[in-house]
Amino acid sequence: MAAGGSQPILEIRHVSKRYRAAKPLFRDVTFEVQSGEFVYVTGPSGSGKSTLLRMVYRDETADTGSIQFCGKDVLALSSSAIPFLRRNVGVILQDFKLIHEESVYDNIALALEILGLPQREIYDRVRQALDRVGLAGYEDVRAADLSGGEQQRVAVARAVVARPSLVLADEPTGNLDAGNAAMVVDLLEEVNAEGTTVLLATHDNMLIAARPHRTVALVDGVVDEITRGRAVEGVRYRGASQEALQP
Amino acid sequence: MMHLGYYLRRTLQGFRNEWTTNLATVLTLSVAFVLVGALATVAVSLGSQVERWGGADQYQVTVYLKPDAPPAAADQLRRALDGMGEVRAVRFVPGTEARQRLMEAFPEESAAWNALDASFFPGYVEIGLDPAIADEDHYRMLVGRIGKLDIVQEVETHGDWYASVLGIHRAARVLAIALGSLAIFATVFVVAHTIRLNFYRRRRQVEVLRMCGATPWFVRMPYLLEGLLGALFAALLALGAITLFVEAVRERLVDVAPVLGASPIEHLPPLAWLVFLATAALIGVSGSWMSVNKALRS
Repeated sequence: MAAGGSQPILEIRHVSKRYRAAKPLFRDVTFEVQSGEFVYVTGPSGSGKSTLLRMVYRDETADTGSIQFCGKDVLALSSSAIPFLRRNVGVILQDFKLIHEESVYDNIALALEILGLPQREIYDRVRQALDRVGLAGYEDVRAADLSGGEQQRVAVARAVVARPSLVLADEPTGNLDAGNAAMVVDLLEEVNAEGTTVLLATHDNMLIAARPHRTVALVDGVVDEITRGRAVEGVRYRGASQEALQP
Repeated sequence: MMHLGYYLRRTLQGFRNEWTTNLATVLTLSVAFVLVGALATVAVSLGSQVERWGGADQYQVTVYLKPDAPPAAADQLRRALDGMGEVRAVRFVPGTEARQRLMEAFPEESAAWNALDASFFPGYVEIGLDPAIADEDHYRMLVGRIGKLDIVQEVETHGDWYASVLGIHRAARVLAIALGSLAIFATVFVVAHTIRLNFYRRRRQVEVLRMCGATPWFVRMPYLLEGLLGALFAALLALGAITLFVEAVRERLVDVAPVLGASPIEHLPPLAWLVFLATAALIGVSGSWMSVNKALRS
């Protein structure tokens, strides 16, 4: 685990969101993520973990509050500025979000094409990213022909190839078996060890326990507890026993 | 342009992946363009015939003088006609110019025209009448009066034939404009629907692009190029088909060429090609723009 930096890269302040008037998804969510930190956002299904992550890359808006990323309030960004925010944020989703009919190379290169890099540099960086996720030689394979674990590793490569300062991973292990899940988290920890901040949303307590990092829990619409290290005991899900949270 | 290579690759990939839809669209556009182009060709050709016979703004009468008419007869006739309000222009065409005109109209017969004696090419007087003043009856009366003059051997008018061609020319022009406007409207929607279909087929790609920080322009450009290139390709197909059609018709009109002139049907001039291609480009871009903007907003 990388040592947390002293500067907050992400400051979430008093963020509230409601889809139905009677029942807010979450309210007054406030926490910080330091530069170079690895942080879990956890909570039961429907607690708003994914929504919170989507707010960070402005795929979703908040009703109130602010989300400062590198000192800029992403919730106040104009629509023309959002693409530039997203170029600094790598996103990994549970369903991998790959373009199935395209090759592994093209899927990863896409993030660099957007930046307008020269083809030579794109080629080198995609090769490096594939080496890093253990898929060297898979350049020409169609994304649809990969296994779930391989697809998620391609998604990780795509998220980090543009060297973003923050990686958001929304249930990246949700569709994977234990072996592949461990491999994906290994990759994210490696990325984090090199200085990239990682915010990982998961409801997998086994994962949180096995790979201890600071954990922000969203329970009943509020930040219930912020724990560090292996101490997930403080996270109290409604109706869940303490035992269920143990690895 | 920084991303041009990427845009072109994506566009060609789009054509490849959705080739059936794109082919159907290109052929549909081609058919529409062929109809408009063929009508434009007819209008241009008739326009040339009209010009050859004096222009759309005047009736033309050709007066052949008797061989024994004194040399000053043509000038005398010109002076007499000049003062009439319905006469727009009077011009004496000497025999040498008459021979030259024939040689230009039928260059393949040049040797034959050259071999003929000068007496085969009597000079004549061309009279242009203002159709706004000289109506059909007035026109016939004037031609009759000129024919009765002592120095006149024959008065040649293009008569009903000319009036018919003029009418058809005007109708073809109006029809070409009307059909062209309708075709523009229809083809914009054909392109728009095709691009919308392609866009939704590739919506995952669009989602990924946006997630990775692509600007709307970055997402939009391959679709605009797809519309643009598809419409241009359709226009080139149509122009090619029209060119072949004109060539084929020309071969079959050899027999009537002496009546209608050396080129009874003409190819569209370069300016018309440019206008045709520019309109096609505009149709392609407008259709794509409509679809992609709507889809991006949703």
